[in-house]
Amino acid sequence: MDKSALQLTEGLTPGLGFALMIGLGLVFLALAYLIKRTLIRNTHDFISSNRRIGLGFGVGSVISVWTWAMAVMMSSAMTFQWGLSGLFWFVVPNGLALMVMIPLARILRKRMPDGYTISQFAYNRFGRSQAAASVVTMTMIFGILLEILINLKGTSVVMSTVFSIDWRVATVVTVCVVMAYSFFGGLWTAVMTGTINTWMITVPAALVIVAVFDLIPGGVDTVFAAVGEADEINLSITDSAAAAGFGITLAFGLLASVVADQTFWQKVWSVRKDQVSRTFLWAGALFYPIPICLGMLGLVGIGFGLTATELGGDIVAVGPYIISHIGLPMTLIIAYTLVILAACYSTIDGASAALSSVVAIDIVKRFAPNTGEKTLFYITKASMFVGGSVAALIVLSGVDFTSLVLTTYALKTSILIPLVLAILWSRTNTLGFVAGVILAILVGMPIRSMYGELVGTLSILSISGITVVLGALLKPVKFDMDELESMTADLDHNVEVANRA
Amino acid sequence: MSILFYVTLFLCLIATAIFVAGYIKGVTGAVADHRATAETAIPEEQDSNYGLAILAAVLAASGIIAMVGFVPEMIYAGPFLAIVTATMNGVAFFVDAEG
Repeated sequence: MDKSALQLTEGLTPGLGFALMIGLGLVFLALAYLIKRTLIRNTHDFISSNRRIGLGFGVGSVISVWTWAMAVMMSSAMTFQWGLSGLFWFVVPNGLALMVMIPLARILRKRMPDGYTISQFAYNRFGRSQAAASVVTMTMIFGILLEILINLKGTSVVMSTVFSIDWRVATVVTVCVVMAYSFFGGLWTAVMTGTINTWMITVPAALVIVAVFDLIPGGVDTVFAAVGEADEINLSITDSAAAAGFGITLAFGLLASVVADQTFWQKVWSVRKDQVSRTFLWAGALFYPIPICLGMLGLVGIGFGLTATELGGDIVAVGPYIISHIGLPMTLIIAYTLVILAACYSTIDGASAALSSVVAIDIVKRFAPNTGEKTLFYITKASMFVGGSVAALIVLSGVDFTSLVLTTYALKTSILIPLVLAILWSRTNTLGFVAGVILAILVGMPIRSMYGELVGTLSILSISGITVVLGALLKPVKFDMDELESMTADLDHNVEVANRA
Repeated sequence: MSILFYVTLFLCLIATAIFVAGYIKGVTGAVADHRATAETAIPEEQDSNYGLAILAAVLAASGIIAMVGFVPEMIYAGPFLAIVTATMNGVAFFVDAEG
């Protein structure tokens, strides 16, 4: 495999890039407008789709929201860096994380049928404790912001690499496009466009990958031989260096990313109650082929003997680089770009919809419970714009958002075990929950910075879990989960404000 | 392009047709449900054990990735299964309607 054959395809102009970004947004805008006219009456519809999302939209939207733009590229990058072991450790925990939600989702949907957010659960579960609820709300808001940030960043990288668009302009256009269509229909828009995005991620990706191997003389046999020649371990999934290097840490991180993320809890309370478990099972299982398919680009990168320097210093660009340099027809390059855009748009609109539910339920309704439905509806919609704008400003400022990544990581990993225990173990109490999260951050994060990710992550998880158990021993109480139902107030379903607002 | 590419294209078209048919059914169902004057009662979720299904999915994904290291043609398993994902997403709308 001769890498000198890799040449940038001509005709990838900024105009074409803009047309793709804005064109896709306009299609979704039209759909969103129809959704607003037919399916949205009030805040309840806007943030929970009247709890009527069926299996098809549930599966499609969960898959698309879990397929981040960065993840599309990371599957190729991890394969490129670690061979099949990298792909194994990237893929397997990814789908599993979605399916692990099933028992937790089943319990909360049954015990708290009128719920909207996971912070609302924490508030009610821990005797209306503002401390417990605030920790969870903060985690959700940071997590949502980070989702938007990372997807904006990923998309701007691809659009600037493939179409030479200024990354700042790409960021602004992406935010404007997604916010414009999300604004109309809230969660219904996110699930309906997200389901289309699942088609846009899977079908074009399949065609593009087959075409890439078609263009390599000798096809899969040549790539297979070249990858093995580079290093035999590339063709094995048992490289322990990949597990220690990123695999185990990523596995826990992914688990925390789902369990401690309102984007998924919003789906738990919005999918029809008889389809919740099935939605997460199907979504987890059907998600697997996406990174497996796109990960094959990493093998092509190894086969060509590409280096990080040739990829502009970042191995995440290995997928876009191969696609734009291997000589694919323009239509297939466009198809790959649409895969990335679909992944980006669906995650951002899903995150924005989740933010709107947090703002409505955990901020406005908790601190100003008498807020009228019309005002609540406006604030809920406006919160999506605020979230998108803040994320865009952070990306545009060029600041290193490592601190935000670290904060979010710390909060999500620290909250994972206490939150799971709060759902599964009736003896979990407020003291153990709050102290567990705080101690995990105060002690676990310094350990992480001193001894690395693996030791740090395991320490954070252990500290938070042990503290919850100690809290239960120090102050024995038993919470009756049946009480949750009577403690949770549903929003007004019957008032209509949307088409008058 | 090879015959394999055109076979993939054909499978993509079938997947797309199933997906679109399901999607239309989903949208019309959601609108009809929303416009219904009385909310239809939704049954409680049945207590099913999904442990084995989860294990099967995890083992299948692991097995496919491992097989790529032994059989070069397994490289095409990813694209083929991605088409299955789109197809099954379409099928989910019909399964839902049956349930």
